[in-house]
Amino acid sequence: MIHLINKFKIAGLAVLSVVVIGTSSCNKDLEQFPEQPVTPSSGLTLGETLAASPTDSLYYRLIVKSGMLPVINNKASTYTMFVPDNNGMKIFINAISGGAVPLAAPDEVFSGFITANIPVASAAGIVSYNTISQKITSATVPSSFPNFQLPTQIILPQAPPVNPLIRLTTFPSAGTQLNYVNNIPVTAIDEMAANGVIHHVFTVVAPPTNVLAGLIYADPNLSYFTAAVARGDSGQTGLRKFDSLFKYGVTNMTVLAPNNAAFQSLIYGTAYGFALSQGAPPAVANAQATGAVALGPAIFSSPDFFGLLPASSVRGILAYHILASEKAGGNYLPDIRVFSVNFKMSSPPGFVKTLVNSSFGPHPGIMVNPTFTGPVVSSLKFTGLGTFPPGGTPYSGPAATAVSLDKHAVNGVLHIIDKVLLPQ
Amino acid sequence: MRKIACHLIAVLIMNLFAIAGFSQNTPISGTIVNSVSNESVAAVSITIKGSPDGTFTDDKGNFRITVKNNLPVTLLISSVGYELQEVVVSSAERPLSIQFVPTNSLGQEVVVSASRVPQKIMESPVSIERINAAAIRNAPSANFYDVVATLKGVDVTTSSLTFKTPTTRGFGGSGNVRFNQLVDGMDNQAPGLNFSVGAIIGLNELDIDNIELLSGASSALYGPGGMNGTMLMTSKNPFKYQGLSYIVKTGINHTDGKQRPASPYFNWSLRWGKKVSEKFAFKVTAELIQAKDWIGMDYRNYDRSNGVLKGGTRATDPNYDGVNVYGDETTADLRQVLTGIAYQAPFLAPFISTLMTNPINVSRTGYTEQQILNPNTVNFKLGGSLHYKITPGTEAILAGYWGTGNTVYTGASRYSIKEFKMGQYKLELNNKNWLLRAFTTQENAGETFNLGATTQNFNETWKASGGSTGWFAQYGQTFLGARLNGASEADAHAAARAFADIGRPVVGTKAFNDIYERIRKLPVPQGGALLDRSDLYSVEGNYNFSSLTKSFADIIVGANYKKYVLNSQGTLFADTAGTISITEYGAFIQASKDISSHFKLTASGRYDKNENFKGRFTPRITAVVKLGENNNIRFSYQTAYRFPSTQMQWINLDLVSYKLIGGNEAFRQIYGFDTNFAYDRDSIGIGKMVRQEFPTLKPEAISSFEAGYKGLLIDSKLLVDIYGYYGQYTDFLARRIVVQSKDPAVPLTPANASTGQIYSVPINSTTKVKTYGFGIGIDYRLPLNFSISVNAASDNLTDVPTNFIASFNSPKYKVNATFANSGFGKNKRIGFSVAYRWQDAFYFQGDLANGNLPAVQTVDAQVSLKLPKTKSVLKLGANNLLNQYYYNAIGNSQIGGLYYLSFGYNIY
Repeated sequence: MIHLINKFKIAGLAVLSVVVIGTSSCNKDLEQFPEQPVTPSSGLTLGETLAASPTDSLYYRLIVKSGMLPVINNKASTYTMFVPDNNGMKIFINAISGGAVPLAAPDEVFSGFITANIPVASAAGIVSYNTISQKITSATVPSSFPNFQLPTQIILPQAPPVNPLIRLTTFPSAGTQLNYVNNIPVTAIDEMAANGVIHHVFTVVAPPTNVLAGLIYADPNLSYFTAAVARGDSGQTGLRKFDSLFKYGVTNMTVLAPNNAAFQSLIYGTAYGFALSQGAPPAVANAQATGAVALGPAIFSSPDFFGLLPASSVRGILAYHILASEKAGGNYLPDIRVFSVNFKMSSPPGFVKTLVNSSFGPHPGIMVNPTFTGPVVSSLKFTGLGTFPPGGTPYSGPAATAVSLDKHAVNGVLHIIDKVLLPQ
Repeated sequence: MRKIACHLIAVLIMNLFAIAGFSQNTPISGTIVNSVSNESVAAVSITIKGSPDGTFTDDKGNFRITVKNNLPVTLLISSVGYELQEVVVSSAERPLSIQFVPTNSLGQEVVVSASRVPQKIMESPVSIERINAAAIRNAPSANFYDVVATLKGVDVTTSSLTFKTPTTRGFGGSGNVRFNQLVDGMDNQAPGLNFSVGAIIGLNELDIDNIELLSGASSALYGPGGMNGTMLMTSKNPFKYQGLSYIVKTGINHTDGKQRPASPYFNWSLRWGKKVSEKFAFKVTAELIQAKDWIGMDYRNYDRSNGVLKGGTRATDPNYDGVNVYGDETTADLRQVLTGIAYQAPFLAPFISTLMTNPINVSRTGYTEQQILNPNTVNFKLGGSLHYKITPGTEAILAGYWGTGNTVYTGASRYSIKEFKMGQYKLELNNKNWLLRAFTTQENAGETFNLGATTQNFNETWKASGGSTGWFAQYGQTFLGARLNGASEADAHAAARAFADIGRPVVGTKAFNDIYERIRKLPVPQGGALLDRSDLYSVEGNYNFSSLTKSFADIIVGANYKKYVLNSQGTLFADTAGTISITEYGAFIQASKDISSHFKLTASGRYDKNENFKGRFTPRITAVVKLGENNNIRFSYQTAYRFPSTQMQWINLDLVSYKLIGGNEAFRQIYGFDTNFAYDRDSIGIGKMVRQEFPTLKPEAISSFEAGYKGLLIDSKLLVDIYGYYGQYTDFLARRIVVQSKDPAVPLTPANASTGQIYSVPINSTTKVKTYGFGIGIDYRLPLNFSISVNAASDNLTDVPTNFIASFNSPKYKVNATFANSGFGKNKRIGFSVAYRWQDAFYFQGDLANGNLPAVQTVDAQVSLKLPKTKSVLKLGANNLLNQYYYNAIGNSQIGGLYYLSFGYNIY
């Protein structure tokens, strides 16, 4: 019996042991779900890629000078860089040195120039302007008109507090591939680096430093245009004034600014026609028109001519010289920056909308006729709807030719034309 | 019906006034002691053979009974765990001293719930389990609810330390509306919150006489609900169980410091029962539990839109929504912010367009459950009853159970049940042949609050999500700025979150507490408080006509009436305009007949009507075939049904990421589903727009066939119980996720569906959902009072339509094994028990979260020492002895080991 009892004790202990041992294997933890693996970037960084390329040594030198090398070598960040190769850099340096550094000079000379003559701030400005965040491959850039506005690494100067979102922008554009940055042709696309992509450009894409108002008001050949702006702005406030738009750093405009000769022609013709309509003989009309022209830009501020040049008419004419794009609801805003290379050659010529459309939506706009020679525009003509004298067949007047292209400002681009375009 | 009622009243009156005359009174007194240990034995039944008269021993084993006949008489001495003894008393001059012989025999218990009449458990026509007070006494569990988990086919969902919800045959969850829990005949489901509160408000361990558990459909006897089973807890009658008893239990949990530092556990319970006279007795019970609760620590990432877990952490997924992290349910597509920036700053629009290819979903930063939940769990129960014997066979009972405390519940979110109060009060008249009972359940959610809603509103109070300077605007601007600087998406999100979270209140600081305490007390949707004050009123009765109909059959009839009064002031139900009343009534009849000595047939049927639904009739037919003494085969065809729960009818809870609504037709108008259609979300996911119809909600029903065998083998040392069942649900109630356009003028399409309003709506399945399973249990009595019990069960649900959230939530297989001895060694003073449980892995579906639950195995153990001189027991026990943390529902607390030492006095 004792033996039996002992056996049961042993059995009991055995059962207990089995249970305990059996359960000593841990309860499994809750099911875990793998995260999407983050593949660390491999290969050379942007800076390392450029450093390893003999044909990019001058821009690399500029990067070093700028102090931006750690930024573009940061594998945790991603950038797109527009990089001129050594030939492009030589064109740039030759230009900014006023020819002092000839194109045929050895690379060391150019490198030395960068080291000695380009201030760090300037170098940083160039590199920052040509560096945009994220990987923008050629395929990313849409072919839509006119281009693809992208913020650069330059934060616009502002009164505190600084908003880091307000930045200088650049404008890649594409046809079937990435063709231009602003008006500079792209020569090679999509060189991949561990932390971004490099597109080679023909030469340095220089950052603008002035706003449109600065460019326009400082140009003696645009003094009539400047005066017309003042006349057109009379009675207007805020961003309804052209002046405000030209000075506002974050607008994005394309201004076709008629030069002084263009305005003189318009004033002469207007005054002459007005005199004739008042019964003056042609000689008298001529004298009156010549006298009006002789007043110079002051004619716009002379009350004697307010009847001839009413502010609303001047505002309408100016609006016709500012390109615009259509927004939802049929609204038009002056928010496109069209470099010469962004206009498309077509037959018949195409049209672009203007700020006139913001008050009269159906207006057909301006007829544009660019001519390309190679990758650059050799001729750019604009034709307005109206004719002078009024009443001619639409778009039958003489075309305005751009006499100065792609004057780039922080807030837009300026093309100077030799005729005033009439919206009706 | 009216005739029956009249008859019932007449018989009742007869009983009340039929006080028998006493011809000659001879008092007999004595003491009953255990023949082995020589301890006095309390609560032993002493009846006079051939007479209905009887009494019980008091807590010292003494008894006194008055005999109306001349001596000699025969006393029948009986108690569970002892051999039935007959003592012939010829003289009453000296007190008797009776040696009561303990027995270890199996299958001798009597159950009531299987057929509403007492019968031997071996002869029960349906599957039934019984736990008596002795089993609870020797169980290793610190909480008697855990003893239920060791029963065959039972699953217990543990929401927190004190919140446990048992079920059978599936549908486990914190709030299980397919499983009835009755305490002394009262349905103890909180009428508003829809969870049974037996674990926190009800009986304490000392007051439990027995627990009977019916697996499977039981509506035919117990009314709506009970689709999957009914658990009936019966308290100790003070006429039988007298004296003062108490247990002081002190323990420790969190021993490994995983969730929080090691914490003490206190559980003090007390019962005092007093038989003042042969006519009057009373009892008072109280229990206090205080401990540091378990914590939900599931920080996995939950895709709330699609209801699935996924990879990612707060650091790696900007839209992270941790299961047990709150406040991060608030999410928005950052593209809305970026679009606004692009509008304000057109020069950024093209760059922003490069970021807009895919949704940029971002969630607010949340707080973990560990951070925001008060760790103190307190549970205080107070109970008592007055018992008056109007006649020797008719007893009037006025009883009340009241409880309050803090615990944690899992519903559509985690709820801190704080200062919750619920009382159940009843007046009952019972007799051998009839019963009348009226009770009410008074619920008061106290300061209960929804962790998710509270924390979301906390975040909104600290910093609003919307607006030009709101959290998402700050996040979006910083994100964009970082992207403009070349930062990777992940780094940009990190920078954005760091910026938007500047000044975020730190847990534990005054700034945090000031806001949190204020918000949690505000009702939803402004805060997180539930103002539920719902009540239930119930009247029921039954009469056993067997004495009149014995020649034909034993017949019982009964009826009940229930009235729910929902009152959440709009914080839970659509009751902003006033309380919502729901009434139900029903009646049943049962007839049973011994066709032969080997074959008993019982048929019953029940009709119930809810004011919002058509009436339902549920029949039940059972048969018991006696193969031999203590060897029976049982067959049953049972039906059950449930009206949609009060929440399934009227809930209207905005959980920010979706709305949980009821199925009452009023919601069609409230949310305009007739004109602004809702569409099935899963169909939208595959590009199809399938309009969700809203047919009138119907009660769910189940028809179940079951066969079983229960028998004693090997010289009655082995008890075998086997069952198998197959059931079919009709109008199966589940939930479905639908989407509606937030702007009625903009039709919902697959393209804009992500911006739509998501609803979880109750739906009846039009297909038959099937369920089947089996259970097998063996109990074997070893020599020297050792015993071993093993049971296994399986439950399955099939043919659930796609897109239905069935929430079956039952492991396919589960196994329990117990090795125990209630008394061995010198004078049988030492006891022990080791219980092992294993349950299979399964996929859990809940309103809070869905996901796979791994298999769980636990070991509970105790060793006890009886101290006869002081009538006390020392017990050293452990729940989850090996401290193997586990979850048994997604989102619930993670349960670890609890170790305790208890001292029990007079725990018969």
